[in-house]
Amino acid sequence: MIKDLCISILCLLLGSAPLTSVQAQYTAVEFVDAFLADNASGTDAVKTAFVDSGSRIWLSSSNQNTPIRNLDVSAYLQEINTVNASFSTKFNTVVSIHRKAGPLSTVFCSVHGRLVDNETSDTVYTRAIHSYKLVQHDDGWKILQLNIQNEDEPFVSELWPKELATNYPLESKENVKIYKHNRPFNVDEVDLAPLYPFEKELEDLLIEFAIQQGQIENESPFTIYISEDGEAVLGFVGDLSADQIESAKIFVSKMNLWYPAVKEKSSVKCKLIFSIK
Amino acid sequence: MRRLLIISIVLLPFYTLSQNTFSSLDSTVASFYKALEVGDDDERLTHLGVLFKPKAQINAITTSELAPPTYATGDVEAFYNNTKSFYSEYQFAYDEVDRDLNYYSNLASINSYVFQRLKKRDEAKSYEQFLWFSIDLVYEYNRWWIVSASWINETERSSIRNVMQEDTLWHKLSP
Repeated sequence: MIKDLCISILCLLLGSAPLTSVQAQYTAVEFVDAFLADNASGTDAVKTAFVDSGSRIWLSSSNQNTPIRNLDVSAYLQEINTVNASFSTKFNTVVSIHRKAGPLSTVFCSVHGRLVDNETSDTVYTRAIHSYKLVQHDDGWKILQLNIQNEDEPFVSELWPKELATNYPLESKENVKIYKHNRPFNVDEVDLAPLYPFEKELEDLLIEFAIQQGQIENESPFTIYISEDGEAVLGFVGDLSADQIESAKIFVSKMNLWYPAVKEKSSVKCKLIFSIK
Repeated sequence: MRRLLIISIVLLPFYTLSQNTFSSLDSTVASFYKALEVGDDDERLTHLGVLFKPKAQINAITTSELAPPTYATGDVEAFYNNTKSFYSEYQFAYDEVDRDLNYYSNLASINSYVFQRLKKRDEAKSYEQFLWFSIDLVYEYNRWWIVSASWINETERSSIRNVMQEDTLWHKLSP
């Protein structure tokens, strides 16, 4: 009776939901492993891993100056899908610290991530600490709350034991672009093609060097890249003769800055094809 | 202008005290249990509001000998609104018996074994039980903030005594 009164006093929040004592298919640790595997597909399985009402995900970046972010489940799924659009991802738990009493469970764990760029195959390895609060429903475990801290200082040794280190490769991240692609786009891939601001001047240059824009039959093609900031750089010169290469170099050097190509409201590097006699 | 100055002078010590109080995990967690004991509604809401980050979550799981367990979740305001009537009837007291900490960088996870005492205000009756509190905090703007507080009570059928003995598992990738 006394305990039941205490229980009723504890159960004071919004509407309380019943839980059953049916044994879940997974342990909480196995559930977290499965959840991380589901992150790679970004499917609704990620969404259904959380309780229906009010779960929040807190994200602390590796950059100390970035504010801590707070997402609801839909926003989290959207972030996962954004990453999955550019990378093949795989996340693994390395060490889990697990506690459980009745239908409440907590998992504090280190997570190793591997992100392979879909276009360049560049691979990035990440480390993070995740803290999960889980509740056991009749259909298994559900996440009440997830708190993520990305690596930003020497890692916790007990969560990254040297005995496991060889299992989980790490690589310098300095030379790998994670989110920004540097590949040049073709003219037909951009929203706005590069534009030379002085039309007459360009016409004069084309005549002076016997060059035409586009690929012309019986003429030697070469490419010019217009960078994000509008600078023209000579690209592929294929089978141009030494004289033609020299002409192309001078042709490019005489150009002023272009208006760069635009794709999705950002300036991007774009490839233009010219032909020389 | 003078009024504004007086308000500033009055608020300044409170603000300074708050910043100092929440700069350590120990005092932040201690302040949380103190806040749960505050009987005055407005004062309790102020204390909890300062401790928790906006949109932070409170999760209460209750087990009983007779009925299946239930859980309830909400933010600080929901907790405040739904517990008001109980606070007018009961005086709450919390003693942290044991505490364990896992942390990395700006993230800390604290698990406490807590003894709860409830005393009915107009009677001599009191009730006692043990609870497991699991509290997650983040460090931002030179202080700790609670982002979630979850708890579960102990019954004879569902013991919580072993939660302070953490289970550490190593995951090895299959070759």
